[in-house]
Amino acid sequence: MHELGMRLGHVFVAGDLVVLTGPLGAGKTTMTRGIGEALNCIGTVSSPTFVIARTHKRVDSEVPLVHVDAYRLGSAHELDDLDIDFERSITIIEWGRGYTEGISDDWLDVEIERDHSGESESRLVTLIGHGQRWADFDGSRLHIAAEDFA
Amino acid sequence: MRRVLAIDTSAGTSVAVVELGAAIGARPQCVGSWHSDNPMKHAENIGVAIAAALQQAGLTASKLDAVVVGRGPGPFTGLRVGIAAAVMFAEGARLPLYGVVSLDAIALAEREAGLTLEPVARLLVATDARRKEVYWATYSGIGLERGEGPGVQKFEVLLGELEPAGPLVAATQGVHAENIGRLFFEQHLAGVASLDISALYLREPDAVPTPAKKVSG
Amino acid sequence: MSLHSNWNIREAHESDLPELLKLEHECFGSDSWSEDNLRSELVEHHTYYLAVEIDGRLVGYAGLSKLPANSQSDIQTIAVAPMARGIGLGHEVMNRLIRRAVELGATEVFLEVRADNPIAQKLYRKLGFEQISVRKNYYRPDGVDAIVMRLVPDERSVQQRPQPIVLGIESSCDETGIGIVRGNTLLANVISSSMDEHARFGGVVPEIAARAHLEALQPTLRKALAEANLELNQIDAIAVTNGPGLGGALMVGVGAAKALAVATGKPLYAVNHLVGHVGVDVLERGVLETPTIALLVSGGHTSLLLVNDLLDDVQLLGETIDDAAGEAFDKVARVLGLKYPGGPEIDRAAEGGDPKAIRFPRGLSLPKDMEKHRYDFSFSGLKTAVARHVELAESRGEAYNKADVAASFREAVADVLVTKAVNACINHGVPRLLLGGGVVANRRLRELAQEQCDKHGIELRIPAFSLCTDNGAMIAALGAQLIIAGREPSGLGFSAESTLPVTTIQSR
Repeated sequence: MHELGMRLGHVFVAGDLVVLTGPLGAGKTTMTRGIGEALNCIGTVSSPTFVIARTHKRVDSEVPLVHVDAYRLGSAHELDDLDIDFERSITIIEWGRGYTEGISDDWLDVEIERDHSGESESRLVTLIGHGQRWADFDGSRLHIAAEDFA
Repeated sequence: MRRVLAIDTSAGTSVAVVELGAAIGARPQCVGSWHSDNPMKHAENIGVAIAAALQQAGLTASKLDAVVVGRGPGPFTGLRVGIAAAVMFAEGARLPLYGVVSLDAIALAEREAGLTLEPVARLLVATDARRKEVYWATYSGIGLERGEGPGVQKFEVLLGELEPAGPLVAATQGVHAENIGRLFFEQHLAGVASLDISALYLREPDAVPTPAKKVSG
Repeated sequence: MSLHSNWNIREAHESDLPELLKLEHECFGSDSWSEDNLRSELVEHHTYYLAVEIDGRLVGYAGLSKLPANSQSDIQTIAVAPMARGIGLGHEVMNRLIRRAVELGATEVFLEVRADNPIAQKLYRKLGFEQISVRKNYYRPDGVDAIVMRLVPDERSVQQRPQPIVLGIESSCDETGIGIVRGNTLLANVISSSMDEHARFGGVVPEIAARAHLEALQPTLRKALAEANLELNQIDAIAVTNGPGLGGALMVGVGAAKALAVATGKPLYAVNHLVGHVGVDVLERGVLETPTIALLVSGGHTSLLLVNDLLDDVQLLGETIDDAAGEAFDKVARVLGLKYPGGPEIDRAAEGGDPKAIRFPRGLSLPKDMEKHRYDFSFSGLKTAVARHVELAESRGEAYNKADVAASFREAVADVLVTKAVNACINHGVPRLLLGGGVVANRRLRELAQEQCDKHGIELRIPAFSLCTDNGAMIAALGAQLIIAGREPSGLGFSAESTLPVTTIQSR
């Protein structure tokens, strides 16, 4: 998941919005950590559940990575309360489905599914682009191989 | 009541020291100010802004008679910085604290800039509320009294709701603390100054996602 | 060599014995104490021994004896290696011993000095000691007399540093805390928690938390002043947390503090929230003995710090790479169908449960993790393991033992926290561990920490719970330490930083 995040991270530019969905333990923060590494973020990218949002500056860019966890937000309006500068940041919102209406017409929806019977550790990751920005996005070009998860 | 410190962070960061002249009917003067339109750096700027406004006015906190703060509406994080600062400044300087609606200060600015309306026209003040929505209020009459709002709504929807009732003139001024101060003096002299400094959130946080509610002030 | 060399004075420990013996012989020759004597001096409960180091090497030590019921105290010994003399270390260490004696309630301090040691006598006279008697032929076999000297400590002799009255404002997450200190004495600690409102929403809801901050500012401030029996104009300075934490909440505190500073004309210090947690120990012990390892565990943080100097040298050894420990408790509580906050709920559910029933993973504890993540934490795998355990049972229509799961989960958390913290102490040669943060409330964590520290000869410090959770007193205390050290205020231009690094103790 970290590796997938790293591959994905290189794709992002200012104004990008990623909605990350998946159950507890699916690997959302791990993926975001990979994204953070690809973007040369300063500081550890850890779960922002408690603080809700963390802004990570980057070594080589003025465009910060804003890592949000909507887990405890009661409504979409509370997301506004964070006053995130979406246009000038790369924003990743864990548990963000349904919270991003009105923010942007373009976003990348990433869903991670776990095997719910608990019998295996495999994950299924589905990436769906919404809007013009993601119209030409081809996830298969990320070249993820099974070996990457070893 | 002659001299107030006015603070508003409903849009950018704006602080001013406004003085009421001795002559009756004289327009209150701004004797010191600091202003930035940057909608993002309120916590960074507020201390510098207050200190600079006082310094420009050549005054210390003890020379003030009151503090006035813009209650919004506006983006929450920034708005709260100004109100927190106003509360604590008033506490530290032992001054009474008053509140005004920030959008009203824009209407005042329009009036000062010479705006006159047709009898059936209304001034529409609309400020960015993110999410393609606006905080809005309408004003009419010679004194540009607030008629509708403040509320929060998607701009197109808002126009659709307001236009049927008559022509609208869009405000072009921004929020400046000196107008917050002037507005206060107007209200104070009319005996209607308000001690309510609560932030105008307009959007209520609910446990379940709800559509935007239009709440009149 | 000057006093600006890399010197450090810390409490001596039994593990210092070999080095101390060498020094003892070097300084006292035929008068030296035996190894047994020296050891018993170090371990006795009524003695207090300091070690002096330069660049990490032991160059001196001194000891004080003070029996509990007694108002008299004795300087047992003081020794500084010849090559480290003449730079003021003796004076410095004597000052600390005297201060300690006063803290312990002594009204007189006694010592004996060789009649043929004018340099030492001069030092003692400078400190305020006076000769009161002579013991003839005291030092054998030389037959040198011993001069008995006595000090009655007062303001001047204890070299009191200024004791600034500082008001501290803390609003980095869900608490609005305002505390007042005078130097390292606690005068007030008021916390306006919005916890009850949050319980309804299953966690910290930022919109409400920030609103609560705004509403709580004035009442909390007034309550703190009332508790300290002070007026605002009696405050010497203001300190505020500017990070790390929740952006919106921090901004309210920063805005408030700046305005208060301008209105009152007082200097303002912007300090790091995590370092505040470490520094709070000065309120209970007067000083923060350094170096120390600090383990800070809360809902928002799980960090392991190496503190060489509270004001200048705090290093992050490791932190969580996913969930904070407190978060893990909250999330696992949810998996188990328990309410928020997870800590107490899991404690309740764990009663009667077997902590060894299920061996849940201790994150980042495998050999392969030691290189890059030796002191980092990860609770995500643990969280998944608990979820998997529960899901597996449920998908098979089986019941699972909630008490066992809760107890085993809690054990895994405590185990990995304590093991890494203790390893940090051992590997860095630091015999001191400080705990902080709200999760310190967990009894199993405290128990295990005490157990392991006792086993490895590490001194464990856990401040009072009201000082461990987020609070304003710790911010005020850190501000006071900065002032005492003569640091310049922060000015008015600093920002609120949600990811402020622990190496930035004060922001400008």
